[in-house]
Amino acid sequence: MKTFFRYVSLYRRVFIQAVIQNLAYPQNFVVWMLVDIAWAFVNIGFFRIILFNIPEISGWTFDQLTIPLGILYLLNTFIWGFFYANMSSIPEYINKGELDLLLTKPVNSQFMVSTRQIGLGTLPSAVAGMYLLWYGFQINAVPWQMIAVVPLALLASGIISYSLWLMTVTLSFWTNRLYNVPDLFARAVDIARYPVVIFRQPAKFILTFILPFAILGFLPAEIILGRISPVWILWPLGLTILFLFLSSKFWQFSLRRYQSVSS
Amino acid sequence: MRKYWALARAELLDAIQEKEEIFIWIIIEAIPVFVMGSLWLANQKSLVQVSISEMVTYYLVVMITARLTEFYFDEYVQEDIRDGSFARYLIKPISSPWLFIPVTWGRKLFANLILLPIIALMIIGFRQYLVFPGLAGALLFAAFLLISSLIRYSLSVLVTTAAFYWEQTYSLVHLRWILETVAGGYVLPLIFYPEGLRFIPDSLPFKYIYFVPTAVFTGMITNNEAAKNLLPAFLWMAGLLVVSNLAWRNGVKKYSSVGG
Repeated sequence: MKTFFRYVSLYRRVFIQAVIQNLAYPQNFVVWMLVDIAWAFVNIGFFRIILFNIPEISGWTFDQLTIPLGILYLLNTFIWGFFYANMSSIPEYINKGELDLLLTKPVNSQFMVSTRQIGLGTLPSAVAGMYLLWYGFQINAVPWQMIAVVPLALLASGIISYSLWLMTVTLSFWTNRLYNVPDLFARAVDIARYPVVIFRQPAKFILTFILPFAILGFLPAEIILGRISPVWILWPLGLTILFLFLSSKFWQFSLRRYQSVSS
Repeated sequence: MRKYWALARAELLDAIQEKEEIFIWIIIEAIPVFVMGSLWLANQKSLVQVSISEMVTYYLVVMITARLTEFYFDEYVQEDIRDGSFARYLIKPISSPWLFIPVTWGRKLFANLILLPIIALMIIGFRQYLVFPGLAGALLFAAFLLISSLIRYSLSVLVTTAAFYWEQTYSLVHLRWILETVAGGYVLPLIFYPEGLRFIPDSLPFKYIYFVPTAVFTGMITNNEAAKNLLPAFLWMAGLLVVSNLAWRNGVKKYSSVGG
């Protein structure tokens, strides 16, 4: 428990530092916020335009889609804000030998590489997500007690996303240089915005069980809309533990491949 | 001309050393094609404005256009400007920003060669859905590819130039992506946009990046319409080249290097 509070205290300091860092470049911070707002309009507009042209996407109308999109927007705030900058830095630490500095610190190396930077420019996504959920709950006449699914879904989806992202960037230990590997997850997670039924087998199986993008937003949305039993929430929660364990093991295993620049 | 070739060759050799990164880029660019292809194949009965063949071909050609016309030097040169290592470009015997053309093309040549068998596999896999243009359409497509490429080059120069004035400008790279993606027709053909919104992409140069070349290829717009688009596309391209070059020259004057 003492260790846990030590890490919480450490993270609090990182957070304060990140706020100062974000505000040190005010023009860039404002443009990031504008970019995030623009992405929100683009993504929502994208589905609106598609559904101007066709009545539904594989059984999902626009009004129903607001629920998974709302969950995914809140998830985006979390994963882009808290992890994008950190994941993008890992291949560079490995390639340039800068990981030495972090490995010699008396803190878990996975914690260090995952939490050093925080971006606050994605805050508008959180507003967009909450608005979409509010709209989705209203228009689909969803009972308000279903709101309890949202934090559970976000916890599970956030940890699964982090674990998958970390495992992907950990591949950098196994090659000479892989600077673009963080973008692989960033692009792949877009798959979560579409109902898994649009894909054919074996893609459908892979996206549900192996790279479970299908469950990040749509599975909780199906629970909220009463399409499937609430018991299904146990599936992403169970995977959370599995993926966190796997990412940690893979990180530890891959660390053995690390060759420092000085040795 | 020899120095341009030498620079392109050096970048090509560098790219060959980073083949894993190229493999990752190809997967990254194939993801939207796979997703959008799956989306439209699953909902093809609902399509009215265009045929499923045109849609599948559209996304395949968009992917190829994206690879062939891409310029992305703004992503790393602005970092060089900020940390002072930009000076290495100024001492090269080719004036900046033009040197980024052979640098980018040399670097991409290897990636495009790797992409060829993947495109061949996609063509075989989707062969029953693909449509191809006639000779006139193919020539118009090639002309628009060149224009698209130079427009993207100018945009990349403009975004890089911002780094001479601001401390942090990476957000502008994302802004460029958004404009190219949405107003350019990367995610959806612009004919899908509601009438009331069409005037926005229609009055901007981004539609010449993806939509017009790809629509010419797929037959979403006729060759006559495409030919009428050539002059405005050319004017946008020329205008952006001039503006970006002037902005760059002014920006370089503000640059101060470490120790210089």
